Amino acid sequence: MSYSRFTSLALFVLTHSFAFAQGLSPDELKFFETNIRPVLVKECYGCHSNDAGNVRGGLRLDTKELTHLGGGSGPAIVPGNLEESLLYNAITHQDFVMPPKRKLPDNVIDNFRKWIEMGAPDPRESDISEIQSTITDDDIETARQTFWAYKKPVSVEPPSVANTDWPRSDIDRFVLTKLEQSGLEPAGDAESYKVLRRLCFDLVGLPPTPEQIELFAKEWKESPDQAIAELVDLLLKKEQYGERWGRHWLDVARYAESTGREVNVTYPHAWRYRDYVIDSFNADKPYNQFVQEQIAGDLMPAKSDEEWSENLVATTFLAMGPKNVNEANRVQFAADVVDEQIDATTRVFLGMSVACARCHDHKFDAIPQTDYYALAGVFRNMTTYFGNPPSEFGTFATAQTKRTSSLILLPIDDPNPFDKRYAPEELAALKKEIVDTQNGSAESRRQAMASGDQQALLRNRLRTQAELSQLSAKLAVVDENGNPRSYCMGVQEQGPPQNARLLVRGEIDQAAQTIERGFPKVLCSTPVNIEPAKSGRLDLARWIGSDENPLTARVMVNRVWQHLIGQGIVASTENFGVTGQAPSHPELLDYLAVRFIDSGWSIKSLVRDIVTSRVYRMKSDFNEHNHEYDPENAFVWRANPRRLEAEAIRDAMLCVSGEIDFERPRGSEVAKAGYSTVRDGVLGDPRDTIRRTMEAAGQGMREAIAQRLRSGGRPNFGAPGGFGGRGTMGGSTMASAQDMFRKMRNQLDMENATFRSVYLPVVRDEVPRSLEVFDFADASSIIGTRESSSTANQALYMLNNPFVIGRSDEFASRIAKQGKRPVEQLEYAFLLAYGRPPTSGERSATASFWRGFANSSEQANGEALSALCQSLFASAEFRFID
Amino acid sequence: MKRLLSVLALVAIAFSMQECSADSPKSKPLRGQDGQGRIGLLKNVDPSKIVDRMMQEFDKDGDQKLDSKELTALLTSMRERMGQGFGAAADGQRKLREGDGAAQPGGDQPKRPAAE
Repeated sequence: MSYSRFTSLALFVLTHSFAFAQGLSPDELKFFETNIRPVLVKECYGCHSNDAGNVRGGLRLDTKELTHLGGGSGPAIVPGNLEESLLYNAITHQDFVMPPKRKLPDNVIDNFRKWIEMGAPDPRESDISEIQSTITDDDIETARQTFWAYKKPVSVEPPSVANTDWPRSDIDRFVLTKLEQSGLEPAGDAESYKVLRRLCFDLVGLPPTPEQIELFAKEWKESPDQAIAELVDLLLKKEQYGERWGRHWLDVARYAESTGREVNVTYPHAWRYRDYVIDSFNADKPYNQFVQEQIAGDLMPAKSDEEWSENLVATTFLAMGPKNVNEANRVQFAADVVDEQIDATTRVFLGMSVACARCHDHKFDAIPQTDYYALAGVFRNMTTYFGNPPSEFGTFATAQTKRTSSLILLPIDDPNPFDKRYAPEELAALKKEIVDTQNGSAESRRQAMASGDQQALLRNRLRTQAELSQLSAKLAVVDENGNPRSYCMGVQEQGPPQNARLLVRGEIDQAAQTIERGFPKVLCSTPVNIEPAKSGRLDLARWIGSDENPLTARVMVNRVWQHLIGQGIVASTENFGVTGQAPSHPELLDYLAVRFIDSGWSIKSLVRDIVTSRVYRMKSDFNEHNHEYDPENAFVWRANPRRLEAEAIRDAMLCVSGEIDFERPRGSEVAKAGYSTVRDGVLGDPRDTIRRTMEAAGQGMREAIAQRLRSGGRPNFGAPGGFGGRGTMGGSTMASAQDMFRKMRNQLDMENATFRSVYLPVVRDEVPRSLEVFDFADASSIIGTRESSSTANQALYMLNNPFVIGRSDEFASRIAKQGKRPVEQLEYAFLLAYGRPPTSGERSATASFWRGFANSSEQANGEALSALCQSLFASAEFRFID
Repeated sequence: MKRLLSVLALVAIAFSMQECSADSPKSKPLRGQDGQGRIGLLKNVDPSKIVDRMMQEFDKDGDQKLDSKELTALLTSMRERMGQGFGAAADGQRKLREGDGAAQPGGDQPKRPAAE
């Protein structure tokens, strides 16, 4: 007994001393311990505490921090605010009902009211008070003073060189001086057709036309410099320039039309950002403006509604990152979205990673954890729009899409809106379908409940959720007259800005001190001062896009250099930090950056400067001496042979076959499908698609498919014999079924599309086959440098893919029309595919191939020609620029 | 018999409340199309209040029990008023809250940026 008393006394003293340390008065502590804690323990901990191993709705009520953070619905307690305190809402049985089966006595509810109104004093605080960074202000200052990337680029005079005949521009002088210092010889000029091919692919992503080849060869003979200059001017004016260079930007901007991750939900309006990027490159929009629009376009003053709309679309950059919409916890989801936005912003525009400071101080760069949360404060004060607006019926979430959002209405009258227009009777039918589906669902649920069939109940619920979600999404995007509205993704500021709290190890329930909003200190030569009433996002955009920023111009210049020369001056294009690679030509990098800024941040000027240099037109020939000294070609003693990107290969096939359509398709395949999930390469639920297809199919096919399903078969779209192996369905039925499923699978591959590849749908993890096989950029990552692999898959694609075979046939038809004689056909085929005539060796090899393949019949000759064309497509020379 | 029917009615109500939960703000119900009762009404209201109200409305003879006629009227009325049947929120219908973006049907009007 005495022990028990002693223990009680000790506990009382301990608790009280702890409470005092936290600033709780004895009355507050007593009130909590007598009126609140016992109720929480008895009524709530069973489902909402760690000890019970139960965290329903992502809500834990066993610590103060977690109670304030709340669960998937929001904060359980907001001190002093009954309205916002969901726990009070629940125990008073307003929107929620807790405890689930009864109401707490009135006096208990009243105690909770008093407790919240007195500020919810709670002694259950964790002992986190303030996290001290291991990176001091001195460390940051030292890094700023000493590390090259943190210092502003300075104007550098081009060096003098021994070989004064070689350079054509200042760029050449910077490169040549390095070579001369190392005792290396620059390679000679490449042949004219190779330079032409480089220019055409590098600037517009397409092979040269026969007319261009002829004209360029003629002008090259007179003056290579003049020939290049004129061609470059011509190419920079083409619409295809923006498509080519816009795609480079979309790689780093992680452009995609779906959320990716566990539940892949479409972004039907992402295509507006794609078009914005392409148009910006074509208009040669100043790069600093381009940057600012993407970070804070919604806050930038606009002279007209059109400009405002364009700025809003630009902020899609912040909204289209990958998202785990299946995340149960709202706070966790919000923290992850902000994290992704910080990562994208810092790596894309500044070439440095700040996101690892979410959990700890940066291990190598002078970026303390506080810098991350200073930026988090800037980004957390906005709403991110990435989902679909609610309809008049609300939003119907599917079982796995726990997190969604609305969309921004464009503030202009769109003369040609994308979504479907509904006639009054169609609109009424759509609404009726929603009501009927709800009623039908309720009826079947009642039946299932009556029969006790839990599985049927669940199936019914999941199916209905998916159907209602799709129907409501369709209804939401039209007005009351059935006219479609125009939307964009993007961001908008929320209410009064708040600073973020530092989270220990990035855990949302481990909040420490509050951090003032700000930018990474190591990049700020002068302290940043964000007005308390502003989030600071516009300031951030202007700071990143300013002439004073040490990294923005360098990072972009380096990317452009990499795309044209084959490797960056800084090889780690997205890492200019301490762990990144040092620049091979630091003076050249600074020279280009300063020149870029002085040109008004003109990317076209930068491109022109580089491609008219002597460096650009060098041969790729091997030189043993040079190779021994510089095997990586870091000093650029020769040109780097480069494999074409996936888009360029596909576009080149379409161009050579004469089928390419330069008209920009409106929207994209994803936009057509609307807001839905993507599975197995099919937009929408494949099971629903099968069901609809079967309903539309003939009776015979339905029976055949049903028979296959009864026999245990499993749909396997597109796989040979997948849906109903050979023998299960006979003859035309099986062929039709396979054709049907191939078309379904082809929805995202779009093998029949003839527009440029930049307009193909980019669904995360479901990239079209023609792009995927040639190392398309992973849309879930920021990709400045694509992989360039050579795999058996690529060879098999070139051998068997229907798209390649189809283009080969068209290519063959095109050259067959050019001339009847095989020699003429061969000349033309080589000219189109490689930009040059065949060599004598190639002529004889082709003749031998011809003899082995063709015979007297016209059909066999046609097939031989197609096979020859296909082999040209499959060759290394077609896929590489040398 | 009356007692049995009353019990049945309460069981039906209890059935409809199976999915009561406080952890889903998204399940905040919307008003029915006729502007009358709420969709998923039973999900969010104190059960004793529901019973009181129903007894008041449907116990026509005032004996605190529901006979077969009264029970039929109750069930018919529930189906009509809720439109969606019991526990319609199980279909994932929800109203967006502030912080999830806009709750405006049809999308959000953007805020015009301040002039320079």
